[in-house]
Amino acid sequence: MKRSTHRRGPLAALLGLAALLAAAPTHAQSATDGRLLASGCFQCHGTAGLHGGFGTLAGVGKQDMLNKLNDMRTKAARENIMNPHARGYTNDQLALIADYFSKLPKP
Amino acid sequence: MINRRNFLDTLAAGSLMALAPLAVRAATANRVVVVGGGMAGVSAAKYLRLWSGKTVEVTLVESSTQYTSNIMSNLVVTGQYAPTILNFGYSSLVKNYGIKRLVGTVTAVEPGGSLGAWKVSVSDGATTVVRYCERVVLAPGVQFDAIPSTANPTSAAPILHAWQAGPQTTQLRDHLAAMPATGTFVMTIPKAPYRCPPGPYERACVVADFLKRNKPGAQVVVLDANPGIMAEKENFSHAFTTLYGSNLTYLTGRSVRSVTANAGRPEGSVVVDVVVTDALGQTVVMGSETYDAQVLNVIPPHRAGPIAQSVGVVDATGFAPVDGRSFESTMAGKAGIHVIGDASKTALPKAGHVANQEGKICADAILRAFSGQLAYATPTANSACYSPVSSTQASWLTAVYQYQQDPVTGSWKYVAMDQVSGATGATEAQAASTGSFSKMNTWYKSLMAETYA
Repeated sequence: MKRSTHRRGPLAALLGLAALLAAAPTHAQSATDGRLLASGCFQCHGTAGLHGGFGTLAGVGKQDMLNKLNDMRTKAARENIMNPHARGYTNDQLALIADYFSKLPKP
Repeated sequence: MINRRNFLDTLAAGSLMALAPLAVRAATANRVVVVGGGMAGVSAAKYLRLWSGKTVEVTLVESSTQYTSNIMSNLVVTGQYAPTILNFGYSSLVKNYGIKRLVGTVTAVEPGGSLGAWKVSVSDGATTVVRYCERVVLAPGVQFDAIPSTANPTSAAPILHAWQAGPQTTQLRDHLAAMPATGTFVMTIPKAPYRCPPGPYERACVVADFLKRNKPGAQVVVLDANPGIMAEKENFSHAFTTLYGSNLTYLTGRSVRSVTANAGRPEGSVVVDVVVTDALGQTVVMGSETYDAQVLNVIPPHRAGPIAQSVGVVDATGFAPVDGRSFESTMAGKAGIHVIGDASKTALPKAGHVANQEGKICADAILRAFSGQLAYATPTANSACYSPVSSTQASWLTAVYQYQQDPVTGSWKYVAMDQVSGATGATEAQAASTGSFSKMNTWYKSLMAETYA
């Protein structure tokens, strides 16, 4: 380790601490944002997208899911119960939801 | 003289020391007591355990040995389904997630001093035990206001509401089955907010359907304190005027004044005020009417369950105001107490599917708080429910609620909005169908498995 780096150690530690204190509490995006949004799907599609009565979501590819949801968004809301769901979230929220399920292992 | 380096070392050491107790507390004492084993309470308990990797200690306090579902209970009233389909135990939640169960009733929630933020006292009738915790989640459901009546409300079979599934559900079923062939079933609907917005209209429909098939000379009279149908207006209006045009009368602006009945007896009479709203928005009582019933079903106005009242988290409306991001109480001095489900006061409907999601939003917010983070700023909840309109057909109602700030008032609340069209409000099915009736059964099984297993 270089001497200059070593000499800045305590200051770096303090700055790191300050950053930690500044960062908490925070409104910044958290790793669980997608999970919380996606948990609204669990009632019908099962806990973590498994074993529900309306199809497994765990392990579905992100783009596949977004394509399906975008298709539902173009359809009349009252024709199918999923249409108002797809239409009820923003594009950013749908992306977070699809990303969450795509990272779960396929059953 | 202190040099710069020593100063920084000293400051850093001091800061770390100041942080140490926090770190120790976070590692050893993340305890939550959840009060109430209904849809909201058990969802919060499950997800606090699941999403913390079982590092948060969760105690679930409930006096009953099993939950009796309100969802689907109208089809038990008509005898179509057995009462056992409503029952769900707690053993799967205990086994799968390591939730600690405590059978009893909460008698007090007080500041816990040095032993924890809150001290929860639980009585099983004989002894009282206490649990200290950092957070309390109250999910007590609702209690019903007393009806001005001649019946003794302490009777084992008072005037039936059957709006809390259990013994009253099967009592109302038996009264209906034994009703004279040309009798009248009279039900009253309280002013909103009440539990399950489409529920009373669903009950009116399935009872009318039962009578049409089994007692064709009988009638249903629905006395609604509200100015109109509060949910799935198109589908219920259609059912009232077409399917049940010959045996159901639906009247709005009928507010219960008094009831004459004998506890344990199905028959009685109800006096209602006829209330209209004038051009200035004032409600005016136009007169009163009396309805005789061979089977009487009075759903009284309700408010948050007793523990929410005694802990002091309710306001003048009888329900508990909360921060929609965490469901933490906004009443003074109640930080760390959360209220979820039908007892809370938000723009979300009081319904099991929604209560399940409130439990998850609350759990996520508590876990973030335990790691020093604020709650997610803009959570979403959704409602999806199927309502039978007969023994073979069902409708559905759904909405996605976004927690958002009103651009005019600046206040935050849950708003149901179609992000594509910008339309607000919930969406109902184009029409009731047998397909939706089948999906209703699938929905119920899924929802209850996600909540109780």
